[in-house]
Amino acid sequence: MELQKFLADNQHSLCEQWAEAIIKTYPEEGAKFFSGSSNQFANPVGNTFRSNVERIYKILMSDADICDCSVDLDGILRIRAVQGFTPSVALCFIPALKEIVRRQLGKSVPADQVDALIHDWSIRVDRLTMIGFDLYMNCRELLWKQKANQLYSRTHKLLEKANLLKDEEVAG
Amino acid sequence: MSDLPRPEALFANIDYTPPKADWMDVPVDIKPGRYCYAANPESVKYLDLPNAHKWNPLDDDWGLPANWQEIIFNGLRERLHKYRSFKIFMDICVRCGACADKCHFFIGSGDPKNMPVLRAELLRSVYRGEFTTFGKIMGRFVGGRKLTPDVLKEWWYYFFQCSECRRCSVFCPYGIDTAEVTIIGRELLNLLGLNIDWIATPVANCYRTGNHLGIQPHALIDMIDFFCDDIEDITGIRPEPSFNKKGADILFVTPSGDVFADPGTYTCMGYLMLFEYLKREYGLDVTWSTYASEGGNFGFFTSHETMKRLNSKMYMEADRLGVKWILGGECGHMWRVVHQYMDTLNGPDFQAARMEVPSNPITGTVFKNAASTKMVHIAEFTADLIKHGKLNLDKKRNANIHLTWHDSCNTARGMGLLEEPRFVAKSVVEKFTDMPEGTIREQTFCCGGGAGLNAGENDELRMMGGLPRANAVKYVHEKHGVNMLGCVCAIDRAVLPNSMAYWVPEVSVCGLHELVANALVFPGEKERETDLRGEDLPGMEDE
Repeated sequence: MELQKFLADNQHSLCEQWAEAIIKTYPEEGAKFFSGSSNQFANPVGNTFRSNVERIYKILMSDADICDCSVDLDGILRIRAVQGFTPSVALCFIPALKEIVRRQLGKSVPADQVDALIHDWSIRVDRLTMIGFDLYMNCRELLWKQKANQLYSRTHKLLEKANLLKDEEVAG
Repeated sequence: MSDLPRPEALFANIDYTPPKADWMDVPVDIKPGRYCYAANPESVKYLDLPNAHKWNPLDDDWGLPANWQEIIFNGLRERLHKYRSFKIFMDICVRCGACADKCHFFIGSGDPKNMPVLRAELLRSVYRGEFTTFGKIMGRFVGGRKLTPDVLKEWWYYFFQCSECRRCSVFCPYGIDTAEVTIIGRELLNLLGLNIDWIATPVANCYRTGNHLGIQPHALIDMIDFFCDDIEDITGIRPEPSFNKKGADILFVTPSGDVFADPGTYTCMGYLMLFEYLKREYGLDVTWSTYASEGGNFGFFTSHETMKRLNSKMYMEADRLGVKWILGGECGHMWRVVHQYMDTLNGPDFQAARMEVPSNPITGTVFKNAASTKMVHIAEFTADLIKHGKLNLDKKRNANIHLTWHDSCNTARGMGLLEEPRFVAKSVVEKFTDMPEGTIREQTFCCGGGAGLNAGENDELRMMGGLPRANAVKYVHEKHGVNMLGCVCAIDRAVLPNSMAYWVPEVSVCGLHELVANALVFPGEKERETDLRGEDLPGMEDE
């Protein structure tokens, strides 16, 4: 069996399970809400998870550069980066895809063939995980930068008012 | 070796699903990034509020007085008796869930205790368990529970994760205003000295000096002078605002955030230019006050009593100066207090001593809607001027702006100010696109930092809460090329820039009168090359 065909044939079910892997990290009532309404404005989190997961999945099963997933992965991680998760939980859904696919594949092919079939594709998922770390850290660093800027501008203004800055520092 | 499990299999056994439990059994977990620092005891003391003390939300011991339960019970009893609305809200909720998925904090976080119904239930369960016969006997079986230190901590954590925006109340079939439950919840917490500093210190400053930042009169005038310098550089016209002028026609009160924080400062420059224009063209006499130098009212986020104290200063000042009426700047909760609470706080008899029903001396329009409060919103005022053709406006100066409109919760839901800001905005910009239905007007999403939650330390909470608004902005940005988000609230102007920088970095934030002033053409002004931000005007880029 060709893995690409398997991924294409099972796209709907696998994407659903993958989105579920993200959503089950939330408390029950929250998870229920995120899985519910498909209105992109009433339920932006659930909607982003579902639609971005599908687009990432399509890139993963194609030959396209894995970096093409960045925008959609960023959409998911930008949300998870502010929801109080530890980094490992925020990113846990990415490597989970390998196990989801492996489980489904195991139903169609003998167990001893699964590893060989999935090997190269798994590396693409690993690469996606690495990109995920970069994106997650970008989000966290932006938050810290905003916090630092807030403190900086507050202090800067006070120093400026007290005439304790040189002209070029005022301008800068 | 072959018996060892694969890494993937090991990974698959790690379960990140939170345990299932009834909400009453989920202990409160106070997470950094979601709460604001405890109130500075000096600020609490300054306001004569009870139990001023140093404490840390992450400590086990919150320094509660020995009889803290009795204090809460007495406070709750008093408020159930005093506020009929609160008593009704405690009794009539049928937990239908219509409000559950309407809160921006729940939509962004998925935390069930941010569902308005459950947030109110935190307090309602104690009311049932401690105050109703049925609840005392049947306890948890009828949704009642006892007041314990953990329950109190849960109150504090979640009542300060509500921005009192009232979006949930729009959807409640019974008209329950969950924000009122939060307001009472916070008031009860204040009886134990459990406020947050981002509220308590501005309230103390405002009570003492007249504004949130504690800016003294000379510094306030200095700042406004700086703005006049900038305006003169840009337009060649120097505004000459008056301060504390007895006998002026109108007293102007705006949030101090407009004077001290970008991009509100550009809105403030806008006010100055508008008033200068009206003075030169029509002889309108507007004065600023260095005493009532704050429109915002963080007392509203503390207790009815502190709200009343801060609200009164505007009217005392209007009375002292003998103005005819008050013009209010682009503020959010100032308007909610004026529109919904002031009449029963400070009463029309108190503040109408010398003031008149506001009328625009330039157009003759009588603002009957402000007959009782004697206070007109500047968006109404400017809309009236434009409607009567009293302003010379050149939209082309804002040609590089594609605007969308954020209806600020307090002005939109709190007082129905929906059309006036849009009318003004469309009169001064060429490109305007509203966000989709369900995200604007009375269903507008909160900026995520209202009700005193715009502290630096709770940035994760603000980002989660700001997501539904930012998501709608992102949509109009990607689909229509929107690059500016306008609003009439100083908190919005403080919160939304960071929110946009995180969620939709291509979109900036501005106030309404910044756009008005950019478009306003003074007789005899020099040719403008830049807008109020010092950025090149469209067509002036290469010159």
